[in-house]
Amino acid sequence: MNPSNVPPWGCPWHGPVQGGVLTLPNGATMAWPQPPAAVAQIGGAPKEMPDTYGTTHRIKVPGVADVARSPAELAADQAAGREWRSDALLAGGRQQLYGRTLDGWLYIDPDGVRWRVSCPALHEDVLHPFGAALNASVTLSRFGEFGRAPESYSYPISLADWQQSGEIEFSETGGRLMVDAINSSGSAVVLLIHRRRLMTADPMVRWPLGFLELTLSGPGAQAVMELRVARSRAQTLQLARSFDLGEGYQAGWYSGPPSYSAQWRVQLASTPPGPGEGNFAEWGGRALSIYSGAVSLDIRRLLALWYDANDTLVEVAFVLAWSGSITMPAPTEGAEHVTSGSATWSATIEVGALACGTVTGAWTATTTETVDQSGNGTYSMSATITVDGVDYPISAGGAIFAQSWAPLAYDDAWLYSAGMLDPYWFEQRAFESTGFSGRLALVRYSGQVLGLRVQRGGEHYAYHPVATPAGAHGSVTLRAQALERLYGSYSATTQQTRWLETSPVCYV
Amino acid sequence: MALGDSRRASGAANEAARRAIGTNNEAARRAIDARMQAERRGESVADDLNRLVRTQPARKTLRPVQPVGAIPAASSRADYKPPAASTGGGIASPVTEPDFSVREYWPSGLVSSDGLFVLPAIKKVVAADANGAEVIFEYASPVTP
Repeated sequence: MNPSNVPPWGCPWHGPVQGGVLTLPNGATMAWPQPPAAVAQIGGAPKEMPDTYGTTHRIKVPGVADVARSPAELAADQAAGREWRSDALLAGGRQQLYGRTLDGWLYIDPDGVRWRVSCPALHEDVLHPFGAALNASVTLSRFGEFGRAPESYSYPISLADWQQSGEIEFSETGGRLMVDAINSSGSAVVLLIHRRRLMTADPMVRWPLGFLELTLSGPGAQAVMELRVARSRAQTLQLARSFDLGEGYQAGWYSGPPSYSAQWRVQLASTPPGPGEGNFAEWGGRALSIYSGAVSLDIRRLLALWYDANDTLVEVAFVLAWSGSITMPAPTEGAEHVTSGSATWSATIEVGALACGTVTGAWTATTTETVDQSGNGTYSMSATITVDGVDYPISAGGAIFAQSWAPLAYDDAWLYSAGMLDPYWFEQRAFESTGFSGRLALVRYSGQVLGLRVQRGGEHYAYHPVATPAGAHGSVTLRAQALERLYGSYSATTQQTRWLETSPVCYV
Repeated sequence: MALGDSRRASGAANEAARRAIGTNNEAARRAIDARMQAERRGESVADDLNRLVRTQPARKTLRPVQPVGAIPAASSRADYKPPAASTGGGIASPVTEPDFSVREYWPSGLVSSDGLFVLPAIKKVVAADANGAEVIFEYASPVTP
């Protein structure tokens, strides 16, 4: 702490920066270098990563007290738009501080000495194979002391097992790393193992596959670094379902060879043919499921790990809970075969135990089918899929299918339960805005601003309140544009949030 | 006085009078000419204005003080106090710092409000005066205990 007669010094200019203009707390503006995004080489050309424009990380040097100002000084500060803060924000994908990029984060060692931390292995361009151990180097460079000779130390870090194998398999065998969260002293950082998706239609730029945590301890000259798996893939991608409809059946009129008379049968598909009989499926048997009871599906997919105000890790997860019941009786001879089902569901982003931006929906469906002895007949099906308060009716009908009884018209959630556990498929089916109106999408406005989007027919979208480290922010907002890139930013110092911005924004 | 003398005197007087008239006329014309030139130049106006301006009072001078003479001789006593071992008889200007590298700094320095930056605070400077004598400056720590 400085003597009382030493005026505060540092950077008193804080607020959101957009278009190179910083808006101060008193509403005045001043020119400020826009915090730049992280840059990747894609197709031989540099490309700025859109979700990194608004990322911020709060740094708080232990023991640094709030700046004491007299009422007169405070009034003068407020009039001038100044804020003397006892913490700092690293802004943007290249960690801007005082208008300068650091390309690293800051570690405050136990002696209070500041070190800039850099690790080339965390660059956007590096694709890590999960089948090989991770070996990298971390460099600490003494930071923030004028007139001192440069001083730096490098330390190796390694990880033998990425813990990227497990029940949920997918085709890609590697992923990227990025610093996604930093605790207040820079002594712990979350490294996001992810698949990067930069298509315009993908508002979720990073799909997490797991999380590492790098911890630093000890003085900078003798630092100890540990790299561990904070969340494995199995912990990151969780899916529980109760959707077992049992063994498959065959039902219908057994027409058989010409010498046979037609015969109504309902039997397990695995039933062996009788003596002299051909396969039932060849002689009129049509596939179906016979089941009546409850069905459910629960998806929990981690989107981020953040540090809270106490520097404790908090899980940020997309949670989908779908439950209902299905009635699929065995068909009876000459009667209408009616199957039906209904379910309700909710999808939300949870920050710890706090639900943010919940979207709800429902599903009801009925299918009616009649099959005559000649193997002909008709079916009709109808369903209403309700998403975010909007009904989407579906109906169809016509001649019966040759191979199977007409199925229920399910909603998208059923697709999630249909054994498609590859996360890549999951991302495409669940979150890409193609086809069915009402489809959900996740939006990564920045590292600390995540939200849900719901397609509402045509080109209209409903953007739901975003999840931030401070909880939910905003209200449901409708926008007409489909493919625009949206940006956001969050200040851990003021808990202020910007979202739905059409140009990059970042708090400093 | 004889008549002739009277006439001569009268003639001389008349001549003198005529001469005087001519001289006066000439003088009057000259005066008129000079006055008209002065009027054209505004000299009389300036003179009138000058007359309106109050003249500054003359600066008063201090009363002379008579010299009182030298202080009379007197005797007194003082105890001898030896100078500190490390100090000489004074510091001769200029004082210069011969070696920057021996400067000492307080470990804390002046810290930015966010604690991330530190301006160095000098603790000790070793210098030399013009006579080559060592001069040491020791500065207070900026950290409030």
